Amino acid sequence: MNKRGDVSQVEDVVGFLWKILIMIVVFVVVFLLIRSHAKLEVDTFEAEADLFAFRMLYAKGALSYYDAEIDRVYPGVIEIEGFGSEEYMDSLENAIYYLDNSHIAAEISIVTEDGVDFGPIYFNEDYYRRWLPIARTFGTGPGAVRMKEKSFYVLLKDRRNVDKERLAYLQPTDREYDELMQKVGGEKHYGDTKTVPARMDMRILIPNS
Amino acid sequence: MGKRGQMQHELMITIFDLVLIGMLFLSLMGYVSSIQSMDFVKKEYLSKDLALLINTVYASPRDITVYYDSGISDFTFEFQNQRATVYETEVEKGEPTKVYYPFAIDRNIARQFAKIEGPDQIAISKSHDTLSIDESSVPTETEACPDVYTRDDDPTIMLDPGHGGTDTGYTGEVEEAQLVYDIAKQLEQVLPGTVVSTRELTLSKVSLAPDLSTEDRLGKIELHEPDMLVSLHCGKAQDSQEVIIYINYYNTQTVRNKKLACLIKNRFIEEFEGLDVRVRNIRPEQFGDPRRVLSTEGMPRAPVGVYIEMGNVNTPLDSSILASKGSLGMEGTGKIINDVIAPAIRQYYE
Repeated sequence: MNKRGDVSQVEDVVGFLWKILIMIVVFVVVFLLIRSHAKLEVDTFEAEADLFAFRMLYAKGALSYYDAEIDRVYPGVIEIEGFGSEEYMDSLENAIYYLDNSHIAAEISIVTEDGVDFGPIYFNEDYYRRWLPIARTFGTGPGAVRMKEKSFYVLLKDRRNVDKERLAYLQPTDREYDELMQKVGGEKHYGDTKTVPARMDMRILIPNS
Repeated sequence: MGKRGQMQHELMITIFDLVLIGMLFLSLMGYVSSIQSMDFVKKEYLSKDLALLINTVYASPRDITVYYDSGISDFTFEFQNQRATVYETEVEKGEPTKVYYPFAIDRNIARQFAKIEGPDQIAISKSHDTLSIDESSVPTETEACPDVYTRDDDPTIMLDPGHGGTDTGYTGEVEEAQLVYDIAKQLEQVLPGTVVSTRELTLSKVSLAPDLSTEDRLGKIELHEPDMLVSLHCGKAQDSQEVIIYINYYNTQTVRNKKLACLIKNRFIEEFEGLDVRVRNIRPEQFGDPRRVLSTEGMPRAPVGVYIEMGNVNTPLDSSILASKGSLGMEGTGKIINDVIAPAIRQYYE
């Protein structure tokens, strides 16, 4: 083959490479276009975080006061005696029990109107401490951890001052309760120490699957 | 290179180009096809949805039963090891791919989790000390209705036969508009109290009547201020024979709506053996026409209301209705009228 033939072969090879390169680019562009328009994952992070928080607050055996005698849960009324104790945490873990701990973790703390703090307590503490630094980065995708913070207004109740008849009236708003107490000649809600308004803060961490 | 060699060379290049384009095209088609079938996504969606639903049922402070029927009949469901696992009941070859999602149990509550294959409906039920997941069967027994005082000696009842005019509704063996119009005409004769209607009930054919929008119907409800609204409709499902009673769950009459729907449901179950009767709680504003007729937003006085979808137009419930092919005539009376709706309404006001 002469010199001209060699040049022609080089031109062919360069032409092939260009074609393959263009093909790859077209393939990737079309692939990304299809992928961007097709929803292939179901993102349940927000729903799952909310659900966990509400389960903490409403479920029997979780944070809210439960009267076993009449089988009644008082959602939003937190029994503060023993809050964070070993028995308390055992009870909480039994009420919301994941077989695989690496699914969800949370920190829960309570602060009263007067600034008195309770907690924090942790759900799945080991993973919480491991995940928190990851959640504070901006990472996304597999391996990343997402964080959600929620606050609830709750009433703190002390077991030593149980008054079931009055507790039943705590389900209405404070204003309704005060009006009711005035009607029946009872005490004002905010003058006694049986219940204390407070704010519960939850920080929930869920890793991306 | 000779002329022949040059041609062979160009032919090879062309074949190579075509092979490349073919490979690219086939790969993309395969990818698009896998997205189109969406089986994996559907399984992931179902497993997550069910796992979260189980968490929700556990979260309920009281006893609760939730029915799940969102396109699940092609799949098998398992709930072992705290995972909602979903896979195809039948696959053409090989083993089905299982997709699962974890849920949290309450260790203080006993569990009865069944393996469920190709269900129409799954029931997740929490009672005092047990959470059970099982295939839900069609309710065959009547249930206790809300015990709320509703006695009235002279109620005003408004009937709302659906569609009419140029709008025939669903058409099959019978026309929905004509069928429900005939039922309304006969109900007018047998109901207690004062009966009014969203459209005149004196015509032989409802196609002769003017069209009536949902706004027009709502206007008439507001004008007459009835105590009760009964909206009559039919479905079109080919294979299922079912009755769905919709109620507005978000107005001031919720408990009374539930009582009326429950009484009608019980009567349907008593009169039509094995019939699938369901009550669905809806927010009518979100459902759009024609169920929006149950909407009472902005009305000074909300009537008790039910929107009844009775069987379907291909196999209407009552044989006497089927025989008449959509025109009952005043002499034809069906079980729906005399044995279900009218007695249920009378019972409601007793």
